[in-house]
Amino acid sequence: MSLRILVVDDSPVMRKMVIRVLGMSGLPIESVHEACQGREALEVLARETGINLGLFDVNMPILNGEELVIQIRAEPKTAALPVVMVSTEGSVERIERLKKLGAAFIRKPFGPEALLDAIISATGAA
Amino acid sequence: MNPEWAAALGQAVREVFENLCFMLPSHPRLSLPPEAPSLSRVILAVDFSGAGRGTLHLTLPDSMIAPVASAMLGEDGPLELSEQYDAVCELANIVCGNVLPLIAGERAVFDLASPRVIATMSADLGEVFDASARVLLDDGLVAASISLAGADGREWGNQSDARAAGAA
Repeated sequence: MSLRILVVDDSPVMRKMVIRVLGMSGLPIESVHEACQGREALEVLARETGINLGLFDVNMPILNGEELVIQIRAEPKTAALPVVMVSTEGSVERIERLKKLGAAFIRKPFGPEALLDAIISATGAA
Repeated sequence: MNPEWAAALGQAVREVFENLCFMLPSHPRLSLPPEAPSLSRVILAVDFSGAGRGTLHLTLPDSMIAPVASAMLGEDGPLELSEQYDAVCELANIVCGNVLPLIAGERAVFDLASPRVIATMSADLGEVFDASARVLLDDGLVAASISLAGADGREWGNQSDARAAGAA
């Protein structure tokens, strides 16, 4: 399955870094879409069809990563979207909250192998 | 000064620069050189709140900004200055996110504000902050400092919610 990925982060540099690591992961990537915060991400998800993986920052203005996942899970069209949350701050409590939302978690900094593991965890692929 | 926090700061700086920029510490037995007062530096600040509140500062020579950004983004060509500063701001953010669990415990939840670039430094970091560390990398000397108080403004570890926050 080719991946159509939505990368959401308020830092353009971080989006660029995530896309670079994605390219190094060896995953079959069909397309990468970008958004700078949660509200814009919802617009991309409403507009684009076939996005099958989300990589979301946690701390973002307007609509943060956790709020974004809650809204995605509430919308039938996107409820089953596999999501990996990417964050600098990885407290156990926050990770547990994200797991309850059905999201995998990866902490910055990370390399291709760690990202691959997180994506496999999110998609359930072996 | 808190020596355990200083060690955690040094560890976070070393790990982040190594993993993100592929910049390694110089030989561990090499003593740190005195800081040249005339050396131009950039100082980055990351404020945080939540289980506690405070600020992390990361200081690095101007000469490291371009190589750090290029290494982070994997680009050989010249980067826009704004992109270079975005990269080092993100670096400070990641150092902050990595050091807080080391000093405040894995259960403490913090919200990190967007990093800011500070033009000048008016005081000695070691006197103003709870802990500071300097790490000599092959590419230059990086300094980090942190202040952390409880959410109620009391000293970290003595605040009323320290147990709930997971502090030792």
